[in-house]
Amino acid sequence: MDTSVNQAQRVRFWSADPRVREIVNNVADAVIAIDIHGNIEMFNPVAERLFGYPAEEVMGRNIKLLAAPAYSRHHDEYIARYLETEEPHIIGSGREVEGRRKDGTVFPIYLSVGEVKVAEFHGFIGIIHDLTVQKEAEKALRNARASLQDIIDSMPSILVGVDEQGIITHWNRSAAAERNMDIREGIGQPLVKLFPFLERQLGDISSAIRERHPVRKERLPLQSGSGTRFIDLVVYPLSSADGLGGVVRIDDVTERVRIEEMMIQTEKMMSVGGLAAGMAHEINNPLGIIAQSCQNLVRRLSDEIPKNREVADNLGLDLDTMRRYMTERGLFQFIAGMQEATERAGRIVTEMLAYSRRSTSSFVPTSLCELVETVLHLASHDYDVKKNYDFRRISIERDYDIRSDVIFCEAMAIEQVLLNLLKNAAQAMAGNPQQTAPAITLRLREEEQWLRLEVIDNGPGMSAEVRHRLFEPFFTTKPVGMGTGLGLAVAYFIVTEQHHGRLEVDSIPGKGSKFTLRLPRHEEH
Amino acid sequence: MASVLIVDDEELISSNMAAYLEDEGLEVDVANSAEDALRLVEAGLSVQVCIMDMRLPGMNGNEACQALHRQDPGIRFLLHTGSPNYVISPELSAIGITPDHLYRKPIMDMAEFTATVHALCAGR
Repeated sequence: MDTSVNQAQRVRFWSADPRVREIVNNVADAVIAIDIHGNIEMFNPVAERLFGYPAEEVMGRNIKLLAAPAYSRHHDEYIARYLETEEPHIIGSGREVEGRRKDGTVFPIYLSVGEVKVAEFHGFIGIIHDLTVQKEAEKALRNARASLQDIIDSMPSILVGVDEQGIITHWNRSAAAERNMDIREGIGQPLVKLFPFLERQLGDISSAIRERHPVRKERLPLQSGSGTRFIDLVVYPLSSADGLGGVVRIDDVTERVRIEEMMIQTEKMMSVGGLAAGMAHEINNPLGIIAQSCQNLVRRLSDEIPKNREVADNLGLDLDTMRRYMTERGLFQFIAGMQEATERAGRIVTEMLAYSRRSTSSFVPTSLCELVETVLHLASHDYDVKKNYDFRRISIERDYDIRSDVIFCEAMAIEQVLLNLLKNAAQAMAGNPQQTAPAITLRLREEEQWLRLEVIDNGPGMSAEVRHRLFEPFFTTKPVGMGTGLGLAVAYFIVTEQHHGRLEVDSIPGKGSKFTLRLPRHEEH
Repeated sequence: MASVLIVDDEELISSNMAAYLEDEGLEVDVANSAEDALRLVEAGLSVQVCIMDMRLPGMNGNEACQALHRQDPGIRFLLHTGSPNYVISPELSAIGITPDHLYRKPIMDMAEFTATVHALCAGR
């Protein structure tokens, strides 16, 4: 190419007219003109600064020199296509592309291109705006957003941002996981559609947003497939340029509620336990006096002991008449009643003391299945006419699905627990007005660190009121004198305190009850 | 005649038990404390069977049994306690007291208890 000719031709209107030259040289953006072959015809001072070339160095050279490789490759084709078809792509508008500096570095630019057709020149004028700062800001913003999302995603709580209409604007990973959805799917959907259990809370949520005060609701019970769940719900109002909205935070506190209930229960047990240990001795002494006095009374009224006759004769008393009088007036029955009551009180004291026994010395690896069989055998001999049930008439179903049934326990204590559960089930079913054939299912499963035994009966079940108080000491549904009200309380203590297990009850009135016993599995080493 | 010593700080317990055993033809003495019991034996009381409460003011039943045993190794002991958790101490095991000699209050069957006292008096 004859550069001297080009140099001469390059005295264009923009350098000929000082006013135009003044404009071009003082524009804040880079201005570059090329001819229809792509050769640079003009390169203003901002372009020199931006690309790092002095104008003389780029004059007449192809504009591809200044484009990043991804764009330079097809530049000739772009121009050829335009000249042929006159279909403007970038011409008359602009787009984001990448430029290349003299030192080879690539940087983001906004390029707008216009066609220039005057007498002595046909070509294109490009105005180039450096986007480096803007792009960095965008990147920083994107990073900030991503790390914010990371932060809310790392929260175990379900977090959902909603607008005033209750439409989801954001949500975190826990929220999406709750719905088994991809995190991108939920945006734009109504909150209650994805979280139907919030239907009832909708009023509180929208008033929190509207009135801009947070709403906090604790331990909301939810019925779910696997039983009752509890959630804590917090609604924080938010206001932004786009209008009102809020963040809904949901925490599943089922486990915490359950543990708290258990702690309250244990607390109750322990206070009775401590009391029992101290009281037992004090109660047994007067009981001993009553018991022995009764026995002395009976003996000293006996006509078989010579001393009795001797004393009576000395007093001129007819012992036989006195005995008849006592019989007819029921006095011997009163004495018998006192003896029976004393015996019962003694039994209560003994059972109460099960609380204060904390020995772990007799813990041994034990087969739970064998314990169950021992207890079933014991229970089958517990036929009691007065209690009106016969254990042998109950059908027992064993549903076992386990690899190992070994637990580390005090066998006698766990036997006591199992016997209590089985006898309670039997007694409950005996009192069932529906007269269904009594059946107990024993279901044994492994569950995490536990061996889980469910004792399921088809008795009359129990009300929520009874269920809540079931493990309370001295709570009994049996007639006076039939139960001490300590059986299940002691069982609860043995399981939770001595064996660090769990004992829970579920019941559907009219259908039956289920006691779930969890004991730590014994790991073989 | 066979002689029984009842040691209990609860007077109604000892008097009731004494009444029953006396009706059974046993000679019974009563002490309200371990110290009293030791004084009685010291003074020459011959005891075949001692029925000992374990929780006593002053010297407790555990020490009292050992002290009485030192005074007269022929004394046989029956322990009578209101504490359901009571376990026989090694010292008492060492002087021949076994769980068979342990009675918990309230004793609901005095006839069986009396039979044991008789058996011990007879040296069985």
